[in-house]
Amino acid sequence: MVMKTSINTRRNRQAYLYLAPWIIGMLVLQLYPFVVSIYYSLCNYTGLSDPVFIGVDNYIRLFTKDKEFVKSLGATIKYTLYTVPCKIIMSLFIAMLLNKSRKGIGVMRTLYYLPSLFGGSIAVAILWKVMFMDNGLVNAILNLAGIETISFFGNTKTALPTLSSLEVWQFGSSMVMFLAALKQVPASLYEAARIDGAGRVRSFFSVTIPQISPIIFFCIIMQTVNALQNFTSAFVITDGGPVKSTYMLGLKLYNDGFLYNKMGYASATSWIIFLLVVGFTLVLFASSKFWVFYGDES
Amino acid sequence: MKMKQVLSLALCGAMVVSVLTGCGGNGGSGSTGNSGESQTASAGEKTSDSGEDVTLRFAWWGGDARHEATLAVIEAFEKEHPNIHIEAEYSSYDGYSEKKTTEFASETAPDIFQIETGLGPEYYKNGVLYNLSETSIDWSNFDENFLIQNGQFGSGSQYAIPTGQAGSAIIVNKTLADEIGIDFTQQYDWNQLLDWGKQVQEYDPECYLISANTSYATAFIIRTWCRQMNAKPIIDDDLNLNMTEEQFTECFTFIKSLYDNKVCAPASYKAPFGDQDQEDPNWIAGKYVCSLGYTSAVDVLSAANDTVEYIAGNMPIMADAVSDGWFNDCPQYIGMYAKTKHPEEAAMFLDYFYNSDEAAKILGTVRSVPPTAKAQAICEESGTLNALTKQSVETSMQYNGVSDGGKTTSSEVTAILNDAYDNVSYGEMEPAEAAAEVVALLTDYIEMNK
Repeated sequence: MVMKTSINTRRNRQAYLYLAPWIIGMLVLQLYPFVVSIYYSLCNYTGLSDPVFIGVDNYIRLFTKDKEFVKSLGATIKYTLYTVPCKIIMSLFIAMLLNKSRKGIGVMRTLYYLPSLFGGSIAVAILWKVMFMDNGLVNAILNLAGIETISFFGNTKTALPTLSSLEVWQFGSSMVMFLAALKQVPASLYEAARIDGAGRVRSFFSVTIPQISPIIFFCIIMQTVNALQNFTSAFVITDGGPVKSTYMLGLKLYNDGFLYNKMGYASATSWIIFLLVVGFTLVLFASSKFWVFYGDES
Repeated sequence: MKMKQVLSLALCGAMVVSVLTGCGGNGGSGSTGNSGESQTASAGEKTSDSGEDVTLRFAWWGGDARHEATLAVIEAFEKEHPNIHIEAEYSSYDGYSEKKTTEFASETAPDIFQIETGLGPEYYKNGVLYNLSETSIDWSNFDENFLIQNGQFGSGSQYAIPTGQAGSAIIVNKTLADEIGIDFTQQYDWNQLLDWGKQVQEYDPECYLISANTSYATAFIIRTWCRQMNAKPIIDDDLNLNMTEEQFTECFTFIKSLYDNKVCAPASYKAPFGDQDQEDPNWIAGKYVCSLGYTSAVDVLSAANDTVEYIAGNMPIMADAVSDGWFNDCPQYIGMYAKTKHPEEAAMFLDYFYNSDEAAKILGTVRSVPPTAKAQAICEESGTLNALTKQSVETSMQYNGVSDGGKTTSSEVTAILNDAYDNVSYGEMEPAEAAAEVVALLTDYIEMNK
């Protein structure tokens, strides 16, 4: 009995040791900054001198005096509203095209997934910038088709949608999930629908969508969280311009903290982003009972 | 099984160690003070290096030519001082200053680093710069007044060393200007630019008088406007707002007319190029008569098209100016971190960097025209002094304005002015509306910084 306890204790110790890198990393690199940022958000803190407690002044200032914050909040929400639906529709459409048994379908799936592997990298953002420049590839194609050059990133109306298109292009991870979900839909349901006289479109909306709705729900939540935190593409491609039309909250937070040395204020902005993410997620969860169908429900 | 467990434990231990060391940084410098003054007393007493092996970090930004020349100087210094090793940390300007902010906060800043002129006063105020007057650096090759104006920040001690002489510049495509009949070598006022702009459009609607990007044009027009009208910066060191709403409105009305009359290329066209005018295909094709910028950018701009002749033009001065407003200062500073562990060795390197013949020869004009007469003579002799850069610096030196480096050039104020310029150039705001907003934002900035 004693022998068994000692083996268990040793195994437990080993397990904790194996987990230690992650636990230490999480505590030091995630939990500590997370907690300490609450305090900083209540301080006048430059990052170079000691923080001075000022209560909720930073939050009051954000909502009452900072016009840039309102613009930034608007740009972030618009970006999310452009990006998430387009990305979901795009990934579902491609997943349906690839949900067939054809020769070379594996290669096609890999090719469509590739953009997601690049993630939000600097290199891809620069590639996007070059492609959409006045003398870039996209305008060259438009010119060939007789369409005049469009200043995608120079125009306040086109900059945000063009930036969104980069995120939409990286639809691979949602596509893979949709592909897996589509394969789980029982063929008998389609057969029953066909017998009942449903066409392809009706089958799609009455069988496919309800059956894969939990995955759609999951993808919407993940993509919304990602979009609300956008930073890389706005920073690299437009630097928030033109005229702040792509000035996302993530970029504002970065500029306030690292360019203007207002770390306390930037911490307050980061908590607003956090609350925004929580708010969006709660709304989505609340709406899910009306449209998400789980197989085990009666 | 046992072997597997041992191996797993070893790997696990290695990961824990790597996480801990990765997070730890260098753990501070061993000094306790927070201001430049408190760090320097002991270093000033020393006159030579200790002979121990020392590693210094030197950070700067720039293009390939600057990187290569700076690396060559480091190599030459290391040959003379085998016990001192210098780790080079070089990059483009993107993100450079932000990185410094995090390094200051975590006390991991490099021993020696290049400083953007607008940020120099802020760094001094925050106590991250070493008092170089207390080191063994030889100042005899520098002009005393030039040092007082650049890098002392009103303290009476040198906290940063100017890397060269520089100022605002108009680089003119003389070939095109001559064809149209525009003479930038005469003295003229701001409104003359509007007339010339119309002349250019009549000559060829695809050509523009000015290639202007937001950040350079903001400094060139708005900040100079205030200096010419008031002989003071927009915000002075005592946190007074010297430019009135009326003056802002007048200035913004002028900017609006530059775009309305197609004197400048459309803001939406120029935006994707940022401040890299040399990447604009229309600049390369010679479709602009001039570009507004700095003397430090002259060589890059002129290199973009070698089929035309370039000159440095005179600067506009308004008819009722109380000061000509233009001045000559420096393109960047180099300073030492207040908490460096090796102030003596870092000072030795800076002394070599600024005063040795070999360094002057290698560096040439990679940081504009060198700051000392001695280095300038060496560059001229060795043929490394770019003639156009020299001409543009000489042009900027003929004016008598006073630098507005300080609060006016801080990142936040610069961003406020840049936004106003964008709003007006894009036609998103009327000049009066933009002026009212700028005054409100600057007043708020002043309140926050009091």
